[in-house]
Amino acid sequence: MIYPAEFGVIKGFVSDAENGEKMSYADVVFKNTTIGTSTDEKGYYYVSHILEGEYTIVFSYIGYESVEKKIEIKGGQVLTLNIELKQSTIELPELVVSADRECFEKSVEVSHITFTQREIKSVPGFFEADLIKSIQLMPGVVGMHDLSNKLYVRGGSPDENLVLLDGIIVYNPATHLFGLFSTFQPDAVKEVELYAGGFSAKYGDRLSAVLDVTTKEGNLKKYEGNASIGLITSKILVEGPIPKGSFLFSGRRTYFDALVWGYAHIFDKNVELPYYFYDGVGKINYNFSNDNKFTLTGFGGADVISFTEGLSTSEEKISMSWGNSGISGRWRRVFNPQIYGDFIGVTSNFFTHFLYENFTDTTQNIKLAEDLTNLSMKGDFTYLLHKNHTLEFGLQGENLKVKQNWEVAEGLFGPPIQYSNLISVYLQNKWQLIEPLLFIQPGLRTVYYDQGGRFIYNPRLGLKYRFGENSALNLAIGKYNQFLSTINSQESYFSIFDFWRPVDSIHLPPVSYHIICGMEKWFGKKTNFTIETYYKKYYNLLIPKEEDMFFSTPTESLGSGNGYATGIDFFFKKDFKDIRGWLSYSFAWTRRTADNESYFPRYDKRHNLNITIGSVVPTVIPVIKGGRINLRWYFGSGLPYSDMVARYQYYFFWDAWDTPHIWKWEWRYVSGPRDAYRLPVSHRLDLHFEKGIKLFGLSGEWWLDVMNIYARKNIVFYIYELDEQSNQSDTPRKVGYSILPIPVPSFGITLKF
Amino acid sequence: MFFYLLILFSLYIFIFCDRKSEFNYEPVLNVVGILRNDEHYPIAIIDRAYETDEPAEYNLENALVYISGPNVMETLFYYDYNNYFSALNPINIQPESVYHLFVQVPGFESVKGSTRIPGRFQIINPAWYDTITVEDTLIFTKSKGGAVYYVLCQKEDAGNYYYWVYFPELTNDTIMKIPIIQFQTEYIVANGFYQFTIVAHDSNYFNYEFYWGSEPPAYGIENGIGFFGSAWVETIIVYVKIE
Repeated sequence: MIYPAEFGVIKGFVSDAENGEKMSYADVVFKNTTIGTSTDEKGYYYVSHILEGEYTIVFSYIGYESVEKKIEIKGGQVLTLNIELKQSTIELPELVVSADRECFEKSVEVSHITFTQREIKSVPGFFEADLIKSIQLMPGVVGMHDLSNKLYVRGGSPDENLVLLDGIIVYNPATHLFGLFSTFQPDAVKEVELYAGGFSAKYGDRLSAVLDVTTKEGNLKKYEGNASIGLITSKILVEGPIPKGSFLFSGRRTYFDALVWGYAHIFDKNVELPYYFYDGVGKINYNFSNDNKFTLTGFGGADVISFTEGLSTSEEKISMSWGNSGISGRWRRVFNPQIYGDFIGVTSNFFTHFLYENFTDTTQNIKLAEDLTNLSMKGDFTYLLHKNHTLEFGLQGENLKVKQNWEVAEGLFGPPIQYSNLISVYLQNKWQLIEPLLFIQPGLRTVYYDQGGRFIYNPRLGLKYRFGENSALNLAIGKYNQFLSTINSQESYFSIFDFWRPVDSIHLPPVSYHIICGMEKWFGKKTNFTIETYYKKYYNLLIPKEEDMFFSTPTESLGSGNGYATGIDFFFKKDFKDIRGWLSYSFAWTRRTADNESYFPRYDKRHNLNITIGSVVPTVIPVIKGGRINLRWYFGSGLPYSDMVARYQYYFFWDAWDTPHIWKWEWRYVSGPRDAYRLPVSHRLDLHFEKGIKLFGLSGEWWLDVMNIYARKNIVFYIYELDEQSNQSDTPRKVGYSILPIPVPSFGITLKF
Repeated sequence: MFFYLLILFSLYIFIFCDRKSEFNYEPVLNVVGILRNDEHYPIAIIDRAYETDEPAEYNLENALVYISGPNVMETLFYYDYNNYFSALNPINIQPESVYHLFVQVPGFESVKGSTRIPGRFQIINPAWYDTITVEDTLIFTKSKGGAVYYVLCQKEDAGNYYYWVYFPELTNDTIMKIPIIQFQTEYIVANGFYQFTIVAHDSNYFNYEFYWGSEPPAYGIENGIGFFGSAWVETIIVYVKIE
């Protein structure tokens, strides 16, 4: 690129001096001039058309000490200046608010919420902090019950969310312990971004929302790590520098099985708990040069059940395992000060395996397997046209393969492998049209989908109008398509994982249209209020049928439906000295139509309120003084369910072993209109407490979580039951069941080394 | 003014946007009946569906129940506490003929049922009182309209028996072949006379027996739930020799 002789250019990255992590939205200002910019999401900055001369640049970020650098700009030259900022003495949580404020001032993202590791870990958890449970505190996000780990975002089901971990698609993020734990380890997470709707053209292939998880880069400066022991899991994280880069590894495993095994051996008891899960994340960064960086990320995890007890002979064994895995390789190259690109190759996989083994007669062995594999290559480019004008464009090719088979003595059987391929191109323009009043971000995503040979266009538009220094109006409009679908119901209270299938050539790909309007208001630098209203319209939804679920094609197992979702989300976040908290409230209305039946899906929660408040414990309270306490109170209106309206005796002609030709019967129930009834309201108070600790010369913290402090029994489902002593003709009792009817405490300790 | 409007709007949202559904279930008759050529006094069970908060009362003694078909018009009478109705006179059904069931209970919509009796079929092998081994095969022609076959094996004078279920659509042949060895492991353990009973059920019975839907089943029944089905039965006795 050629620059005018009298002008120069400066570029570089701003990063955290402590660990080398890149810093988004840091200010870069030329002192005593009007020249300035800020770093983008990747910590990169670029200023052009600077007249020759000497300048002083100030790099600043709230919560960090500013750095001033004297530079000399020479005509026609590009100066590279990478800067590291040191944290000031301000407490870390305040930085989060500051980052949000920076985002407010410099980005157009609507319905966008950022979470840091600190915030995730401060939310009370079920045995340990969980990323998805933290996200459920945000407006517009609903969990179906107290321990649900699925994200229902603004009337969208979990299979409508794109979940990414460093660019790797995670198809089943909530698989651990039958859906109670997510596959993400908070210790390894740097930042989580949730786009609850209206996301930009950069993202595609999902109808509702995007959850983009970025892991830590690994400390570039020093070796460090931490180890945690909790009631059911242990974790370890290590990170540190390598020549020209850094590494990070984090691993986690449950050990209930080992504890039970130890107990059985010590006390000679015949008990076993044949279940465990594990997961791990590894990352290596290698900086070839200032302008070339390579990152390799791998993650994997699985749940394993394996047992012999209860089978007819001791020579038999049943094993089942399922899990996610993926690898991504990312090369970031700064081509010239104005253009940089990310080239990513990704493979991700989800598998479910079932194995029956008979050690005395191997011809009886059965193996059932389903494997989903995604291969994708993409290039994302950022072209910094001007400090107020950024062009982003990219190309992505993706291959999805779903393979199911069963292996028995006679051979390997199964339906044909299902493939799909799609190629996507996107272009979007971040443009501060009237500085600092009006941002617009038009975009277009074009997709070629090989099943049916379809070209599909997804236009998107984001707009932000700032009125006054602290207020803005937001608007987002967009069209979204999805080219794969699950064949299991997304309304199940308990599901271990989803079975995905590519949309075939018979069905039209599902489509949604979003329109979102909102207002954001800041009160100083630490308090903000957001209100957003949205309307989302769905067409061609693929709704699972009951029959032919597993070994089937979408043509056989999916019906078509439509729907809409609308609502208002409120979010209020405030810092006041040592007290920090937020309040989120959503009013939502979701409706689906399938098979000429219109209904409220089971995740249609009309009111959803979360209040989270955290504070440093005052010094007047002994023992726990200096610790930090977080309380979370939740209130939600009842979810829809299909109640039983009648019962009848189902008679069957019984040709039993010793009593031939008799009629027997059992009670069966008649369901009323689909999801037409509402469960009672649910509410709950949870607590998280953490406090620093010194042990064996190591610093760390211990923590205590208590879920459902006041033992609220939130009903999740009903069962009609007859008492044992009652006559069969008596009226059955309607008994409500709760997932978490009692307070559940958990505690753990983390030591840093 | 704005403040009051906001309160009104909030009240509307909280109260009316979350209202519960009103739905009243209208109970219907639950009728079950089956005609078999080896049961000359058929039984029909006349029951009804109950609302979930309603006790089951079994008080349908005054139901009017009759069966009609070729040369048959027979009223069934109440005879047992569980709403069992039975014919007083024997009914001899004809294969491949259509029979009707009619049920009338005051306060309920009348139920009509119909079934076509499965066709007569023939056991080709073995013949009556043949001596066979467990390596032999039971062969019989398919019954016209037979949707599922139950093959029952009973040792002479035994109080119990064993059976397997077979689905005719699994083979395109006009005959069914059942290896006797299938009964050996569980039942045929000693030499002796064994009776094989083959029951060909019609599709109403088949659909009802293998129904797993969420709605109450109704096969061969109009205006109610349950089923009205039929079966054709053939029997053979052979001597099985264990080698």
